[in-house]
Amino acid sequence: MTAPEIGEDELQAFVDGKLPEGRCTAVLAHLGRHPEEIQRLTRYAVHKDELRRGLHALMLPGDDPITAQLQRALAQRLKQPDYGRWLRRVASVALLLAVGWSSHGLYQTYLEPHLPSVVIEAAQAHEVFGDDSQRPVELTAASRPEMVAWFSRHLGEPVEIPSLRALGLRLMGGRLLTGDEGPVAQLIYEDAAGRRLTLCLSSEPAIGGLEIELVEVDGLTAGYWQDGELSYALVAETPDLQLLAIASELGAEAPDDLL
Amino acid sequence: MTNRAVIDHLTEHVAGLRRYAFALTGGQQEAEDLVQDTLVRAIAAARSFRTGGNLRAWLFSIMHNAFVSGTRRRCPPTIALDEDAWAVAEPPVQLIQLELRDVLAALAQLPEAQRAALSLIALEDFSYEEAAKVQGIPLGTLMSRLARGRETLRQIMRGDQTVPLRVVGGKR
Repeated sequence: MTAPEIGEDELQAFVDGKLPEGRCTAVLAHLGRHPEEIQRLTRYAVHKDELRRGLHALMLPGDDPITAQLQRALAQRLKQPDYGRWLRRVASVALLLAVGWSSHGLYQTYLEPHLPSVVIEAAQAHEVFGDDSQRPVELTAASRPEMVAWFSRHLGEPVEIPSLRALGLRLMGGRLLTGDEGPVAQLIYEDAAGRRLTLCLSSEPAIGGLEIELVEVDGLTAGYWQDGELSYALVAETPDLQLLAIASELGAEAPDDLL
Repeated sequence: MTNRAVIDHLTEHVAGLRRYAFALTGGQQEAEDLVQDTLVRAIAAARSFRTGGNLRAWLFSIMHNAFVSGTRRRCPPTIALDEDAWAVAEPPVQLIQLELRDVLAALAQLPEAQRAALSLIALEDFSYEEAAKVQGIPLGTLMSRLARGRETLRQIMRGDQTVPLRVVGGKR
Protein backbone atom coordinates (compact mmCIF):
# COMPACT_ATOMS: atom_id res chain seq x y z
CA MET A 1 0.00 0.00 0.00
CA THR A 2 1.38 3.38 -0.94
CA ALA A 3 1.01 6.31 1.38
CA PRO A 4 -1.27 9.09 0.10
CA GLU A 5 0.61 12.06 -1.32
CA ILE A 6 0.88 15.14 0.82
CA GLY A 7 -0.56 18.29 -0.71
CA GLU A 8 1.16 21.67 -0.93
CA ASP A 9 -1.12 23.17 1.74
CA GLU A 10 0.16 20.68 4.28
CA LEU A 11 3.75 21.41 3.33
CA GLN A 12 3.12 25.12 3.87
CA ALA A 13 1.51 24.32 7.22
CA PHE A 14 4.59 22.27 8.11
CA VAL A 15 6.80 25.31 7.46
CA ASP A 16 4.52 27.46 9.60
CA GLY A 17 4.16 24.95 12.41
CA LYS A 18 0.43 24.88 11.76
CA LEU A 19 -0.05 21.21 10.88
CA PRO A 20 -3.08 19.66 12.50
CA GLU A 21 -2.24 17.21 15.22
CA GLY A 22 -1.44 13.77 13.92
CA ARG A 23 -0.31 14.91 10.45
CA CYS A 24 3.33 15.44 11.30
CA THR A 25 4.31 11.80 10.92
CA ALA A 26 2.71 11.57 7.49
CA VAL A 27 4.48 14.75 6.34
CA LEU A 28 7.83 13.53 7.65
CA ALA A 29 7.32 10.20 5.85
CA HIS A 30 6.57 12.14 2.67
CA LEU A 31 9.77 14.15 3.08
CA GLY A 32 11.64 10.87 3.60
CA ARG A 33 10.46 9.74 0.20
CA HIS A 34 11.17 13.14 -1.42
CA PRO A 35 14.44 14.45 0.05
CA GLU A 36 14.62 17.22 -2.57
CA GLU A 37 11.56 18.74 -0.90
CA ILE A 38 13.42 19.15 2.37
CA GLN A 39 15.73 21.69 0.81
CA ARG A 40 12.88 23.69 -0.67
CA LEU A 41 10.94 23.79 2.61
CA THR A 42 14.08 24.69 4.54
CA ARG A 43 14.58 27.72 2.30
CA TYR A 44 10.97 28.75 2.94
CA ALA A 45 11.50 28.51 6.68
CA VAL A 46 14.76 30.46 6.52
CA HIS A 47 13.16 33.20 4.41
CA LYS A 48 10.21 33.41 6.75
CA ASP A 49 12.54 33.90 9.67
CA GLU A 50 14.59 36.49 7.79
CA LEU A 51 11.47 38.37 6.74
CA ARG A 52 10.25 38.48 10.31
CA ARG A 53 13.62 39.58 11.65
CA GLY A 54 14.10 42.03 8.79
CA LEU A 55 10.76 43.74 9.36
CA HIS A 56 11.40 43.82 13.10
CA ALA A 57 14.89 45.23 12.60
CA LEU A 58 13.76 48.13 10.46
CA MET A 59 13.66 50.40 13.48
CA LEU A 60 10.56 52.09 12.22
CA PRO A 61 10.17 55.07 14.50
CA GLY A 62 7.18 54.69 16.73
CA ASP A 63 7.15 58.26 17.92
CA ASP A 64 4.94 59.96 15.38
CA PRO A 65 2.84 62.36 17.50
CA ILE A 66 -0.23 62.07 15.29
CA THR A 67 -0.16 58.29 15.40
CA ALA A 68 0.21 58.42 19.17
CA GLN A 69 -2.71 60.80 19.47
CA LEU A 70 -4.90 58.64 17.26
CA GLN A 71 -3.94 55.57 19.24
CA ARG A 72 -5.04 57.27 22.47
CA ALA A 73 -8.28 58.37 20.84
CA LEU A 74 -8.98 54.81 19.71
CA ALA A 75 -8.24 53.40 23.16
CA GLN A 76 -10.64 55.95 24.59
CA ARG A 77 -13.37 54.93 22.18
CA LEU A 78 -12.89 51.24 22.82
CA LYS A 79 -13.06 51.72 26.57
CA GLN A 80 -16.56 53.12 26.25
CA PRO A 81 -18.84 50.25 25.32
CA ASP A 82 -21.83 52.43 26.06
CA TYR A 83 -21.97 55.22 23.56
CA GLY A 84 -24.21 58.10 24.46
CA ARG A 85 -26.43 59.71 21.97
CA TRP A 86 -24.21 62.71 22.08
CA LEU A 87 -20.62 62.93 23.01
CA ARG A 88 -20.03 62.36 26.70
CA ARG A 89 -16.37 61.67 26.86
CA VAL A 90 -13.15 63.39 26.06
CA ALA A 91 -11.49 62.00 23.01
CA SER A 92 -8.47 63.48 21.37
CA VAL A 93 -9.99 63.69 17.96
CA ALA A 94 -9.82 67.46 17.99
CA LEU A 95 -6.57 67.11 16.19
CA LEU A 96 -8.35 65.57 13.25
CA LEU A 97 -9.40 68.82 11.72
CA ALA A 98 -5.85 70.03 11.72
CA VAL A 99 -4.35 67.02 9.98
CA GLY A 100 -4.37 66.22 6.32
CA TRP A 101 -4.51 62.68 5.03
CA SER A 102 -2.87 61.46 1.93
CA SER A 103 -5.45 58.91 1.00
CA HIS A 104 -9.14 59.18 1.29
CA GLY A 105 -12.05 59.33 -1.07
CA LEU A 106 -14.57 57.03 0.55
CA TYR A 107 -17.36 59.21 -0.63
CA GLN A 108 -19.03 59.04 -3.93
CA THR A 109 -19.70 62.11 -5.95
CA TYR A 110 -23.38 62.05 -6.63
CA LEU A 111 -25.28 64.14 -9.06
CA GLU A 112 -27.12 66.59 -6.91
CA PRO A 113 -30.69 65.59 -7.86
CA HIS A 114 -30.16 62.18 -6.19
CA LEU A 115 -29.34 63.70 -2.84
CA PRO A 116 -31.87 64.34 -0.11
CA SER A 117 -32.72 68.03 -0.22
CA VAL A 118 -31.40 68.60 3.32
CA VAL A 119 -27.92 67.62 2.14
CA ILE A 120 -27.91 70.07 -0.75
CA GLU A 121 -29.35 72.76 1.46
CA ALA A 122 -26.80 72.01 4.14
CA ALA A 123 -23.97 72.34 1.63
CA GLN A 124 -25.38 75.57 0.21
CA ALA A 125 -25.92 76.99 3.67
CA HIS A 126 -22.39 76.02 4.61
CA GLU A 127 -21.06 77.95 1.65
CA VAL A 128 -23.20 80.96 2.42
CA PHE A 129 -22.80 81.11 6.19
CA GLY A 130 -19.69 79.07 6.83
CA ASP A 131 -17.51 81.95 5.70
CA ASP A 132 -19.63 84.76 7.00
CA SER A 133 -17.48 86.35 9.63
CA GLN A 134 -19.87 89.27 10.12
CA ARG A 135 -23.05 87.49 11.00
CA PRO A 136 -22.49 83.74 10.94
CA VAL A 137 -25.42 82.92 13.22
CA GLU A 138 -28.79 84.35 14.15
CA LEU A 139 -28.79 82.89 17.61
CA THR A 140 -25.51 82.60 19.44
CA ALA A 141 -24.46 79.68 21.58
CA ALA A 142 -25.37 81.73 24.64
CA SER A 143 -29.03 81.35 23.81
CA ARG A 144 -28.94 77.59 23.61
CA PRO A 145 -32.25 76.99 25.49
CA GLU A 146 -34.00 79.40 23.16
CA MET A 147 -32.52 77.60 20.17
CA VAL A 148 -33.68 74.22 21.45
CA ALA A 149 -37.24 75.48 21.86
CA TRP A 150 -37.23 77.30 18.54
CA PHE A 151 -35.85 74.38 16.54
CA SER A 152 -38.04 71.82 18.28
CA ARG A 153 -41.16 73.84 17.57
CA HIS A 154 -40.40 74.25 13.88
CA LEU A 155 -39.11 70.76 13.24
CA GLY A 156 -41.96 69.19 15.19
CA GLU A 157 -39.48 66.98 17.05
CA PRO A 158 -37.49 67.44 20.22
CA VAL A 159 -34.09 68.69 19.08
CA GLU A 160 -30.91 68.42 21.09
CA ILE A 161 -27.97 70.65 20.42
CA PRO A 162 -24.85 68.55 20.66
CA SER A 163 -21.73 69.88 22.26
CA LEU A 164 -18.62 69.03 20.30
CA ARG A 165 -16.35 70.82 22.72
CA ALA A 166 -14.49 67.64 23.56
CA LEU A 167 -13.53 67.45 19.91
CA GLY A 168 -12.20 70.97 20.06
CA LEU A 169 -15.19 72.37 18.19
CA ARG A 170 -16.96 75.37 19.66
CA LEU A 171 -20.64 75.94 19.01
CA MET A 172 -21.08 79.39 17.54
CA GLY A 173 -24.82 79.26 17.21
CA GLY A 174 -27.52 78.48 14.73
CA ARG A 175 -30.29 79.65 12.48
CA LEU A 176 -33.45 78.30 10.96
CA LEU A 177 -33.61 77.96 7.19
CA THR A 178 -36.49 77.18 4.89
CA GLY A 179 -35.84 74.06 2.85
CA ASP A 180 -37.75 72.27 0.11
CA GLU A 181 -38.95 69.66 2.57
CA GLY A 182 -39.64 71.98 5.44
CA PRO A 183 -37.57 73.90 7.97
CA VAL A 184 -33.86 73.11 8.41
CA ALA A 185 -32.00 73.93 11.61
CA GLN A 186 -28.38 74.85 10.97
CA LEU A 187 -25.76 74.72 13.70
CA ILE A 188 -22.31 76.16 13.12
CA TYR A 189 -19.20 75.01 14.95
CA GLU A 190 -15.70 76.36 14.72
CA ASP A 191 -12.35 74.82 15.53
CA ALA A 192 -9.40 76.59 17.12
CA ALA A 193 -8.12 77.67 13.72
CA GLY A 194 -11.46 79.18 12.72
CA ARG A 195 -12.48 76.40 10.34
CA ARG A 196 -16.22 75.86 10.29
CA LEU A 197 -18.30 72.75 10.46
CA THR A 198 -22.05 72.88 10.01
CA LEU A 199 -24.66 70.41 11.15
CA CYS A 200 -28.14 70.62 9.67
CA LEU A 201 -31.17 68.91 11.14
CA SER A 202 -34.50 68.49 9.46
CA SER A 203 -37.56 66.34 9.77
CA GLU A 204 -37.36 65.43 6.09
CA PRO A 205 -38.53 61.84 6.07
CA ALA A 206 -36.71 58.70 5.01
CA ILE A 207 -33.27 59.77 3.86
CA GLY A 208 -31.76 56.50 5.00
CA GLY A 209 -30.75 54.90 8.27
CA LEU A 210 -28.16 55.34 10.95
CA GLU A 211 -25.40 54.36 8.56
CA ILE A 212 -23.76 57.47 7.21
CA GLU A 213 -23.59 58.25 3.50
CA LEU A 214 -20.62 60.34 2.47
CA VAL A 215 -20.85 62.54 -0.56
CA GLU A 216 -18.98 65.37 -2.14
CA VAL A 217 -21.00 68.44 -2.94
CA ASP A 218 -19.33 71.40 -4.62
CA GLY A 219 -15.95 70.46 -3.22
CA LEU A 220 -17.30 70.08 0.31
CA THR A 221 -17.53 66.82 2.16
CA ALA A 222 -20.99 66.04 3.44
CA GLY A 223 -22.24 63.12 5.47
CA TYR A 224 -25.89 62.39 6.10
CA TRP A 225 -27.91 59.91 8.09
CA GLN A 226 -31.23 59.54 9.82
CA ASP A 227 -31.82 58.91 13.48
CA GLY A 228 -35.44 58.40 14.45
CA GLU A 229 -37.54 61.19 13.01
CA LEU A 230 -34.64 63.53 12.38
CA SER A 231 -32.33 63.74 9.38
CA TYR A 232 -28.79 64.95 9.88
CA ALA A 233 -26.35 66.47 7.41
CA LEU A 234 -22.82 67.34 8.43
CA VAL A 235 -20.74 69.54 6.13
CA ALA A 236 -17.15 70.71 6.25
CA GLU A 237 -14.22 71.27 4.01
CA THR A 238 -12.33 68.36 5.46
CA PRO A 239 -11.23 64.88 4.43
CA ASP A 240 -14.01 62.33 4.58
CA LEU A 241 -12.38 60.20 7.27
CA GLN A 242 -12.30 63.13 9.62
CA LEU A 243 -15.93 63.92 8.94
CA LEU A 244 -16.70 60.27 9.55
CA ALA A 245 -15.01 60.33 12.94
CA ILE A 246 -17.01 63.41 13.94
CA ALA A 247 -20.28 61.97 12.62
CA SER A 248 -19.72 58.80 14.59
CA GLU A 249 -19.51 60.92 17.72
CA LEU A 250 -22.94 62.26 16.84
CA GLY A 251 -24.45 58.80 16.64
CA ALA A 252 -24.02 57.93 12.97
CA GLU A 253 -22.76 54.48 12.08
CA ALA A 254 -19.72 54.03 9.90
CA PRO A 255 -20.36 52.52 6.47
CA ASP A 256 -19.77 48.78 6.12
CA ASP A 257 -17.13 49.14 3.44
CA LEU A 258 -14.94 51.02 5.88
CA LEU A 259 -13.91 47.71 7.37
CA MET B 1 -11.76 39.58 28.11
CA THR B 2 -12.90 43.10 28.80
CA ASN B 3 -12.22 45.86 26.34
CA ARG B 4 -9.87 47.39 28.87
CA ALA B 5 -7.68 44.32 28.90
CA VAL B 6 -7.71 44.24 25.13
CA ILE B 7 -6.64 47.86 24.92
CA ASP B 8 -3.57 47.20 27.01
CA HIS B 9 -2.18 45.49 23.94
CA LEU B 10 -2.96 48.37 21.60
CA THR B 11 0.59 49.72 21.54
CA GLU B 12 1.88 46.30 20.61
CA HIS B 13 -0.76 45.99 17.88
CA VAL B 14 0.13 49.40 16.46
CA ALA B 15 3.80 48.39 16.25
CA GLY B 16 2.68 45.24 14.41
CA LEU B 17 0.49 47.29 12.09
CA ARG B 18 3.44 49.51 11.29
CA ARG B 19 5.57 46.52 10.26
CA TYR B 20 2.80 45.06 8.14
CA ALA B 21 2.24 48.51 6.61
CA PHE B 22 5.93 48.68 5.72
CA ALA B 23 5.76 45.26 4.07
CA LEU B 24 2.73 46.38 2.08
CA THR B 25 3.91 49.82 1.02
CA GLY B 26 7.69 49.50 1.04
CA GLY B 27 8.18 52.97 2.51
CA GLN B 28 8.50 54.41 5.96
CA GLN B 29 6.31 57.46 5.41
CA GLU B 30 3.77 55.48 3.42
CA ALA B 31 3.65 52.95 6.24
CA GLU B 32 3.01 55.66 8.84
CA ASP B 33 0.27 57.17 6.66
CA LEU B 34 -1.36 53.78 6.32
CA VAL B 35 -1.21 53.24 10.10
CA GLN B 36 -2.87 56.61 10.67
CA ASP B 37 -5.50 55.97 8.02
CA THR B 38 -6.22 52.65 9.76
CA LEU B 39 -6.54 54.25 13.20
CA VAL B 40 -8.93 56.93 11.95
CA ARG B 41 -11.10 54.26 10.34
CA ALA B 42 -11.00 52.26 13.55
CA ILE B 43 -12.05 55.30 15.60
CA ALA B 44 -14.95 55.95 13.27
CA ALA B 45 -16.02 52.31 13.36
CA ALA B 46 -15.20 51.59 17.01
CA ARG B 47 -18.80 50.73 17.74
CA SER B 48 -18.63 47.77 15.38
CA PHE B 49 -15.90 46.21 17.52
CA ARG B 50 -17.44 43.56 19.71
CA THR B 51 -16.43 43.53 23.34
CA GLY B 52 -14.13 40.58 23.81
CA GLY B 53 -13.45 40.36 20.07
CA ASN B 54 -10.05 39.92 18.51
CA LEU B 55 -8.74 43.49 18.42
CA ARG B 56 -5.58 42.56 16.53
CA ALA B 57 -7.46 40.77 13.74
CA TRP B 58 -9.99 43.61 13.60
CA LEU B 59 -7.25 46.22 13.22
CA PHE B 60 -5.33 44.22 10.65
CA SER B 61 -8.45 43.77 8.52
CA ILE B 62 -9.12 47.49 8.66
CA MET B 63 -5.55 48.12 7.54
CA HIS B 64 -5.74 45.59 4.77
CA ASN B 65 -8.96 47.14 3.53
CA ALA B 66 -7.51 50.63 3.75
CA PHE B 67 -4.49 49.49 1.77
CA VAL B 68 -6.52 47.74 -0.91
CA SER B 69 -8.89 50.67 -1.38
CA GLY B 70 -5.90 53.01 -1.35
CA THR B 71 -4.08 51.14 -4.10
CA ARG B 72 -7.26 50.88 -6.10
CA ARG B 73 -7.50 54.65 -5.96
CA ARG B 74 -3.87 55.22 -6.83
CA CYS B 75 -4.01 55.46 -10.53
CA PRO B 76 -1.98 54.70 -12.59
CA PRO B 77 -0.68 51.66 -10.66
CA THR B 78 2.65 52.08 -8.99
CA ILE B 79 5.80 50.43 -10.18
CA ALA B 80 7.42 47.86 -7.93
CA LEU B 81 10.56 49.14 -6.30
CA ASP B 82 13.74 47.48 -7.34
CA GLU B 83 16.50 46.64 -4.95
CA ASP B 84 18.35 49.90 -5.56
CA ALA B 85 15.27 51.90 -4.80
CA TRP B 86 14.96 50.19 -1.45
CA ALA B 87 18.60 50.71 -0.66
CA VAL B 88 18.50 54.37 -1.59
CA ALA B 89 15.05 55.35 -0.47
CA GLU B 90 14.95 53.59 2.85
CA PRO B 91 17.68 54.49 5.29
CA PRO B 92 16.41 52.06 7.95
CA VAL B 93 16.95 49.18 5.54
CA GLN B 94 20.58 50.13 5.11
CA LEU B 95 21.16 49.73 8.79
CA ILE B 96 20.16 46.13 9.03
CA GLN B 97 22.08 43.04 8.17
CA LEU B 98 22.72 42.31 4.56
CA GLU B 99 20.76 39.08 4.25
CA LEU B 100 17.79 40.67 5.90
CA ARG B 101 17.97 43.55 3.48
CA ASP B 102 18.14 41.11 0.58
CA VAL B 103 15.04 39.28 1.64
CA LEU B 104 13.13 42.54 2.12
CA ALA B 105 14.21 43.68 -1.31
CA ALA B 106 13.03 40.36 -2.72
CA LEU B 107 9.74 40.74 -0.89
CA ALA B 108 9.22 44.11 -2.57
CA GLN B 109 9.40 42.43 -5.95
CA LEU B 110 6.52 40.08 -5.27
CA PRO B 111 3.07 40.83 -6.61
CA GLU B 112 1.07 42.74 -4.04
CA ALA B 113 -1.29 39.90 -3.10
CA GLN B 114 1.54 37.42 -2.50
CA ARG B 115 3.53 40.01 -0.57
CA ALA B 116 0.57 40.65 1.68
CA ALA B 117 -0.03 36.95 2.37
CA LEU B 118 3.61 36.16 2.97
CA SER B 119 4.36 39.08 5.27
CA LEU B 120 1.21 38.66 7.32
CA ILE B 121 2.02 35.01 8.00
CA ALA B 122 5.66 35.80 8.73
CA LEU B 123 4.86 38.68 11.08
CA GLU B 124 1.76 37.74 12.97
CA ASP B 125 0.80 34.53 14.58
CA PHE B 126 -2.62 34.33 12.96
CA SER B 127 -4.14 31.00 12.04
CA TYR B 128 -4.56 30.57 8.28
CA GLU B 129 -8.30 31.07 8.73
CA GLU B 130 -7.79 34.36 10.58
CA ALA B 131 -5.23 35.56 8.05
CA ALA B 132 -7.64 34.81 5.19
CA LYS B 133 -10.35 36.72 7.01
CA VAL B 134 -8.03 39.67 7.61
CA GLN B 135 -7.35 39.84 3.88
CA GLY B 136 -10.97 39.20 2.97
CA ILE B 137 -10.16 36.19 0.80
CA PRO B 138 -11.08 32.47 0.88
CA LEU B 139 -8.71 30.16 2.73
CA GLY B 140 -7.74 28.41 -0.51
CA THR B 141 -6.73 31.71 -2.08
CA LEU B 142 -4.55 32.57 0.90
CA MET B 143 -2.84 29.17 0.71
CA SER B 144 -2.09 29.45 -2.98
CA ARG B 145 -0.80 33.02 -2.61
CA LEU B 146 1.40 31.88 0.23
CA ALA B 147 2.76 28.95 -1.77
CA ARG B 148 3.35 31.01 -4.91
CA GLY B 149 4.83 33.87 -2.93
CA ARG B 150 7.28 31.61 -1.14
CA GLU B 151 8.36 29.92 -4.34
CA THR B 152 8.87 33.22 -6.18
CA LEU B 153 10.81 34.61 -3.23
CA ARG B 154 13.02 31.53 -3.17
CA GLN B 155 13.79 31.88 -6.87
CA ILE B 156 14.57 35.57 -6.53
CA MET B 157 16.86 34.88 -3.59
CA ARG B 158 18.60 32.11 -5.51
CA GLY B 159 19.14 34.50 -8.37
CA ASP B 160 17.12 32.34 -10.77
CA GLN B 161 14.73 35.00 -11.41
CA THR B 162 15.39 38.59 -12.05
CA VAL B 163 12.03 40.12 -11.86
CA PRO B 164 11.92 43.13 -14.15
CA LEU B 165 10.13 46.25 -13.10
CA ARG B 166 6.52 45.53 -13.54
CA VAL B 167 3.19 46.93 -12.75
CA VAL B 168 1.73 45.81 -9.48
CA GLY B 169 -1.45 46.70 -7.74
CA GLY B 170 -4.96 46.97 -8.95
CA LYS B 171 -5.73 43.31 -8.35
CA ARG B 172 -6.81 41.73 -5.16
